[in-house]
Amino acid sequence: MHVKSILLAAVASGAIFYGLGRFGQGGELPPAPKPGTPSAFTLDQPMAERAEIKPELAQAPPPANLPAGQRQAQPAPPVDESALRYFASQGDTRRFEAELARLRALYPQWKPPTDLNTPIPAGDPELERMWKLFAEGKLSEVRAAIAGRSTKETGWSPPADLVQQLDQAEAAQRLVNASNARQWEQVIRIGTETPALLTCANVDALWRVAEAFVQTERRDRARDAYSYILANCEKAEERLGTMQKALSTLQDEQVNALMALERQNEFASIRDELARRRIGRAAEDPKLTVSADDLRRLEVLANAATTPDDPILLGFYALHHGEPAKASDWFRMALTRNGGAKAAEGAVLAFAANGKYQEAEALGSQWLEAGPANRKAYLDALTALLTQEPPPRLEAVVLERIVKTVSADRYALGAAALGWYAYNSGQTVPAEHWFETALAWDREHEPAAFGLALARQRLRDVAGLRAIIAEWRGRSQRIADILDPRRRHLSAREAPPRETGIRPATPEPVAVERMPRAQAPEASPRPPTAARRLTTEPAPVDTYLPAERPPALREAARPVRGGSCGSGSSGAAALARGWCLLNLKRPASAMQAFEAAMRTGDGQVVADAAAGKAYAALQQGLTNEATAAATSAALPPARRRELSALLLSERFYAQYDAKNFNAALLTLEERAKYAPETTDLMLMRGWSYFNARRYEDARRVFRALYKVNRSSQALSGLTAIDDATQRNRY
Amino acid sequence: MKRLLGAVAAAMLAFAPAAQATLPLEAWELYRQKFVMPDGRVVDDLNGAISHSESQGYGLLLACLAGDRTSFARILAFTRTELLIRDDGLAAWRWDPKATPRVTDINNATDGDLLIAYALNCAGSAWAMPGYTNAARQLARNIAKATFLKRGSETWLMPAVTGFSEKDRADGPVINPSYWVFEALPVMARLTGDNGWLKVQATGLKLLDTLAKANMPAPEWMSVKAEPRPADGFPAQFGYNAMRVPLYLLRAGLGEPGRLAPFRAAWANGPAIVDVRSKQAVEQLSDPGYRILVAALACAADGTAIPQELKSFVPTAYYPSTLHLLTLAMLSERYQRCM
Repeated sequence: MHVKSILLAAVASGAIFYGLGRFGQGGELPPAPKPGTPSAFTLDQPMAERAEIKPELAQAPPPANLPAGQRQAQPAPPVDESALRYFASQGDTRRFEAELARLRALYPQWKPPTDLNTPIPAGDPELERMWKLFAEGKLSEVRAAIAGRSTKETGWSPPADLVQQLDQAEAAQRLVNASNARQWEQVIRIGTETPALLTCANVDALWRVAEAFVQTERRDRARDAYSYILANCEKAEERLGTMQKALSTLQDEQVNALMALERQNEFASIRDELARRRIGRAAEDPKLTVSADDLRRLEVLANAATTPDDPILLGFYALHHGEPAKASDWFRMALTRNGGAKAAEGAVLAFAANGKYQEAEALGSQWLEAGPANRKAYLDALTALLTQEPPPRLEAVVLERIVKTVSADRYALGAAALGWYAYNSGQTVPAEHWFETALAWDREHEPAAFGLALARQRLRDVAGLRAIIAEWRGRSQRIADILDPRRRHLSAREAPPRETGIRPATPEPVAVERMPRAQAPEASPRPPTAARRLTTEPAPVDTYLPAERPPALREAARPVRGGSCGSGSSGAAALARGWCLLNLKRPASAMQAFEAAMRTGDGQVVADAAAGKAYAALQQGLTNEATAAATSAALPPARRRELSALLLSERFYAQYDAKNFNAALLTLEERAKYAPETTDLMLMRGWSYFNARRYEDARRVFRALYKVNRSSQALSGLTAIDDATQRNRY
Repeated sequence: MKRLLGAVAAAMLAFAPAAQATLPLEAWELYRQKFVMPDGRVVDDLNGAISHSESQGYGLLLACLAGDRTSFARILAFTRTELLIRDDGLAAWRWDPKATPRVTDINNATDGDLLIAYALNCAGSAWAMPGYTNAARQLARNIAKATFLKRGSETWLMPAVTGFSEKDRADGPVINPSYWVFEALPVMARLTGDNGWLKVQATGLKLLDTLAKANMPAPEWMSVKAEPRPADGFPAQFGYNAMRVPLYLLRAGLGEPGRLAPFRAAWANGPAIVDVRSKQAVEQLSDPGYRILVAALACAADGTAIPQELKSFVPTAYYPSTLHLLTLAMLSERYQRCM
C-alpha cells in the first residue's frame, strides 16, 4: 500500500483529514470531528528511506491484486460488509467493533447495515473457513489457505476485504512487535502504511505510534496522536490512559493544550498529577513557585492518602520556600508513613532550618547509612548544632557519635565545629586540637585556622599564634587582626562560621592520637550545682565536654536560617527574637528584645530574658551591664551562679590582656566562689603568677597541672620560670 | 580479481534458479511435519526450541525448492510479522517462545537475511509472484546497505549490524565464512543491479582459496583485521557453522577440487568438528545430515555413489535435517550420476 494513494483516497472520499503538518506547531488542536464518523489518524510523513517487504507480496498474483489505493479511489465502491457480517454472526464483538470503526473511517458516507443477523451468503465453505481462522487470530494459516487455494484453483483470488483485514491484522501485530523491540522508525512506518489501524478501535496502536514519536524526539507528533484520541474516542479508561501517557512524555504546555479536550472533569487525577509535577519541580528549585491552588490540591491529597510521597514533596517545597516549620510537619507525617531515607533527609534539614539542631542531629544519626544525601544533611546539622553560641548542653553519647561520624568522614567543617564547641565551652586545649584536626583534613579551611589562632591566643601560646598568623598573612584579615591591640578581647570571640562547605578532597592523614580524646582528663570535677548536668555519663568524650557550661537555650528561640527574627509583642516572642538576634551577632538589638521580654513576660520568660541580656551585654563587651543582668533577681540561683562564673572569666581575660595581673588573680579568686576552675583557667592562673613575677606560685600551679594532664602548655610554663629565674642570676 | 569476477559471472550464468522442484516432496513433508509449526514458525529443536532468521530462511528456501507454496506463505507470514521488524528492514535474529517479548535479540544475522531474500526470489520466479520478487530485491538492498564492509578491492559481508566491527572488537572486523551463501550472491547481484554482491562473492572465494593454500578448512569466525586468522574468543574450529561452506560451494557450482581439498582432508575419517590448526577431530559426528555432506564431497570429487541409507530422508534434529535436504536437492539437481 502506498501512503500517498491512501491519503489521496482519504481526501477524495471526504474524510475529515487531520494532516499533522497543519497543526504541528503552536499547540492548536484539530477541529472537532463530525460525531460518529471519526477518520483514521493519519501520519502525513514521507516514507522512511528504507522501504521493505510490503503486505501485498504475500497475496495472489496480479492482476487480481490491485493496489489498495486504486481500489479505494474508484468512485463509490460497494462497501464489503462480509467481515462485518461474519463477526456479527460469530458474536465476536471486539472484531465487529474494530471492523465497524475501520469501515467508518474509510467510508464516511457509509451507513452500517441494519440486517446484520442475516448470515453471509452460503456456498463457499473454504472461504468461510478462512474467515474462521482469521477470527481465531491464526493469520499465518489464513495466508497458507489463500496460497493453497490460489495454487489449486486457477483464477481464484481472495476477496479484497479478507486481504485488507489480514494486512491490517498483521500490521497491528508487527506494530506491537516492533514497538516492543523499540524499533521506533519501523513503528512509524507501519502506522504510515496502515492508517486504517490507527482508529479508536485500536487505541493501543495509536499509543505505540505516539511513543515512537516521543522516542524519536518528535513530541509534537505524539501530541497530535493523543489529541486525535481525545477528540474522537469514547472509552473513559482509554481517554484517561491517553492523558497519563501524555503527562509522562510531553511538556507541560503540550499537556495543558490536551487538557482542553477534557469532558466533564474526567481528568481530575491528571490535574492532581500536574500540580504534583509543578510542586515537585519547585521543591527542587527555590526560584520556582507554584499557585496556591496547586498547593491546596496537593495538601488535600496528602492528607487524604496514607503514602509518604506527597508529604515529602510538600515538605521540600516548604523547606525551600522559607517555611521550615511547615516543612517539619510534612516530613514528620512522611516519617510516620514510612517515608524512609528521603523523608528523614527532609526532616533533618527542616529541623535544622528551624534551629532544632538537637532534634535534627538525633534523627539524622539514625539515617547515616541511608545514602550520601542523608549523611550530608546530618553533617550540616551537627555543624550547626556545635557552633551555636553559647554552646548547647550535649550528652556524652551524642558527642561520641558526632565525633565518630566526623572522624569517619574526615569532615573538616565538623572538626572545626567541635573546635568551636570546645572553645565556646571554655575548653581551649581540646578546641586547639580539633581546629588542628580540621586543618589537617582541609588546609584551606580559614575558619579553623581562625579558631586555632584564637585558641592559641587564649592559651598564651604566642609562638603558635604567630605561626598561624604568618601562615595566613595576606589571606585572612581577621587572623592578622588578632594581635592588633586596638581590638577588644571580646571581639575576637566572634561567632564561629556557620557556613557549610564541601569536604576536603584529599585530607591529610591524621593520627587518632591527635584527637582531643587522647588528652589527659580534666582535673576539675563536674559542678554539682545543676541537677541535670549529672545526666552526663562519664565517657572518653568527657575530656572535651565543657566543665562549665552556659545554660541550654530554649530550642524554639533559635533563629530561622538567614531570615529575620520575626516580630510579635508577647514576652515569648520578644524572648525568641532576642535569642535569634544574639545568634545573628546583633547584641544591641538582642538586648532590647530581652529587655522587652523582661517587661512583658511571665516568670520563666523573665528569667530566660535576664540570662539573655547578660549574654547580649557580654557580646558587646559591656561587662558591667552583664554583671548587673547576671545578678538580676529574676534569675534562679543556679543560673545566676553560672552566669557569674562566666562573667568573671571574661573579666579575668580582660584584666589579663590589660596586663593587670594582680587584679586578674583576684578575679579568679572571686570566680572560684561560683564554679571550680577549669584547666584552661588554671593554666592562665599560672601565667598570671608568672607575669606578676610570683614564680613559686606559678611553678606550683604549672606542676599541679602537669601532674594532672602532662600538658605541654604546663611544661612550657615551667620552662619559662626556669628561664626567668636563671636569667635573674646573671 | 578481474579473472575471478569473470569466473563468478560464468558460474552465475551456469546456475539458473530452480524453476522446477528439486526437493522430493515426501522428504520435505517429513521435514515440515516435524519442524514447521502451523503458525509458520520453523523450530530449532535442539536449541531450546527457539527460532531464528536462519531457520525461517531455510524453511522458506526448502519450501520453494519443494514447490510448496502453501508452506511458503505460512512461514513467510510468521517471518514477516515476528522478525522483519527492525528499523533497517532486516530480520531480528532470535525468537524465543518462552520469552516476553519473543524477540530476545534485535540484532540481525546476515546469513538469515540472505537466506530469506534468496528464498523470496526463488518463490517469486517459481510462482510468478512479483510481490515476492520485489520483497527479495528490497531485502537485498537493505542487506547491502547495512552489512557490506568495503575495504580496498574487498567487500566483506559483516555477520551482523552490531557486534563484529572494528569498533566493536579489538580483532574486528570479524566475519563468518559460512555466511557466504554463494548460490545467492550472483542472484542478489542480478536482482538489484548492485555488483557489490559479486565483490562479496569474489572476496569470499579469495579467502577460501587462501585458506586452501594453507590447507586449512574454514574456521567458524575469522578476524580480517590484518591477514585473516581465527578470531579471538571463539574455538578455532571447523565446526557446525563452517561445515556448510563446502555445501554452499557445491550448491553454487564453485566446488573446484583445490578449494574443497582441506574440507575433504578434515573429514577423511567421516564428519567431525576439527581443530583448524592441529587438524585433529574434536568431536566425531554421526547424524546422516552430516554424513551426507562427506558423501557429497566424495561424489563431486570422484563420482562416488551416495550410500543408499543417506538417500532416504528421516528427520532427526533441525540443523542436520536441514543440511540433509539441502544436500539431497543439490545432488538431484547437479549430481544425478551419484544417486
